Amino acid sequence: MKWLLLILVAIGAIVIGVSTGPAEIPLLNVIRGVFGRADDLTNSIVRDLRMPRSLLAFLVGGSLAVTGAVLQALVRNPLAEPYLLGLSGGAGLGAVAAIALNVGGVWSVPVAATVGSLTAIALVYRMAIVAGGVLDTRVLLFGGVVVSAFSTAIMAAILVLAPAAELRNAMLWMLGGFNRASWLTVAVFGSYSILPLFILYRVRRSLDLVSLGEEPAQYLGVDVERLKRILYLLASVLTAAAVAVAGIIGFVGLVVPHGIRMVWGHKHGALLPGAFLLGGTLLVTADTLARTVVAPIELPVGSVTALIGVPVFVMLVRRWVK
Amino acid sequence: MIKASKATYSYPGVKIAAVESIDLELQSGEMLAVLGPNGGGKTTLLRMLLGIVDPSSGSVEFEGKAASDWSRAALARKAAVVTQSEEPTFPLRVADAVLLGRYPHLRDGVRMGDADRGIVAEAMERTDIVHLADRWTQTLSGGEWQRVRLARALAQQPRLLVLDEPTANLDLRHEMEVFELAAALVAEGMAALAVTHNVNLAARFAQRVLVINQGKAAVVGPPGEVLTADLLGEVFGWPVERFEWKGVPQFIPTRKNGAPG
Repeated sequence: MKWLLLILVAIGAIVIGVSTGPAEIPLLNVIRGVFGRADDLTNSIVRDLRMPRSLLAFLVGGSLAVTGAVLQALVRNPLAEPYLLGLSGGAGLGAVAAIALNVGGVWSVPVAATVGSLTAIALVYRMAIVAGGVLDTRVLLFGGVVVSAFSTAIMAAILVLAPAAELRNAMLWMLGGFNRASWLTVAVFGSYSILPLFILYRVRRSLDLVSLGEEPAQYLGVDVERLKRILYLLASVLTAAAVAVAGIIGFVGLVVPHGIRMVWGHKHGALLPGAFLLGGTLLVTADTLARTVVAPIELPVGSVTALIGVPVFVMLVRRWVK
Repeated sequence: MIKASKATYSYPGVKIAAVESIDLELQSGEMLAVLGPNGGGKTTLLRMLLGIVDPSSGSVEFEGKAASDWSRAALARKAAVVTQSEEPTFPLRVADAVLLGRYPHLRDGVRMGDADRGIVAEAMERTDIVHLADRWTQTLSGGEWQRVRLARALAQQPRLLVLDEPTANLDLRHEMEVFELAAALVAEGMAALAVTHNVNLAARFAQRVLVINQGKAAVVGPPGEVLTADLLGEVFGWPVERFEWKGVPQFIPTRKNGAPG
């Protein structure tokens, strides 16, 4: 029942996303357009512009939410998510560097971004392991902020030195957005994310156990060191793929898993698919808002998610950091 | 079941070994209590016996195979550990927390079956937590949480049960119940390894005791033979008196300067 509801809401959000815009397309025409049976203009808007855009926003939102849920189990902290832990910043820096060095094709940018996000999480993790090898929650978040700030600074420097024509485009990208969405970017994102998402669902029980702590997880049969390597790698790949196609979008990974946890509890068998559906719904909706509230100007979608995410973050900090 | 020969472990960069040259053997149907002061190497010994850390020298075998060669999953089907403390990041329902003990037995993609639920129900009954089933873990008292984790360990259906300070948070009744339960499981053929400060309960329930001090085995053997007032006085750094009670030795720490009581 709850799954049906979540799926219906997700489909509804995508349909609204496709029908809303400078040219309002009524529901019936959206459906006709999907099958190429409306007029040529509507067909083109639905199939070439809005469908790939909504689909990409959905996939990226779902993946960021799953990544947030996984990071929370892994570092055992409800405040963990790709943006706050610096993964997104690192991925952005990797992508910008690749483009500045002229090696940034649509397929290779995600690879450069992955290198960036892996480096970022390694740095943050090293900082957070304080004397005695204990992962300190506060240092972890602090490390994430520092790495993010550093990445943003370097990115800004690269952008200033870049040719003027690319500057505006790249700035928008740093703020996050789906204005460059196409079936090609959907394909790129899909190929980078499908395997990581599948593997994360496979290790859902290990995620339940590792949430208890590393030592209890080991005694309940988890090879924790191996699991950690896999999870850090997959979280980095997913974040990087998202940043490569849509720029830096924060807080989806924070808000969404928290919402699912409150309603369905903490078992990853339900949490991961639930977070994927709700994360996708949230980001499609945020994107629809971003391009309609002050149309024809398009807000960066990251601004919209931050408007929702920051209050939730403050609420979580008050509850968890005592 | 467990056999350690001259097992030694030194932390990297530390000259003095945390555990030095320990020999021990534990069979099915036997409880071994590991006694010793805080920081004496008991927990490090446990971690070595369970393959979490490799011995720096010597060997540790579990069922004839080096403990560190076991996969964590295979070992979790044979040995269950109740650690000293555990803080779940996200609250769970008690019944769900106990179900986690079945995870090592579930093949990938296989759902929890009626057999698993039956095992969990029995584990919850034996640890007296049935009435807590719907409670959230973070609302439990220290003792209740300890029993939930014990139930989870029983749900693993282990052949070896390891208890690290099992009764640190428990009141008198639940402390006795944990040891009685462990004794019953041992009578059914399980092996039990209990790390504890409680010398008197160890002397009453364990067939053999290992006293370690500064990483070395002071003595190992049946409590009635090896536990003396002199030994415990030296190991714990406080004078004790020994007396016999129903055939087992019991110890009382004495007051300073002969004060009464």
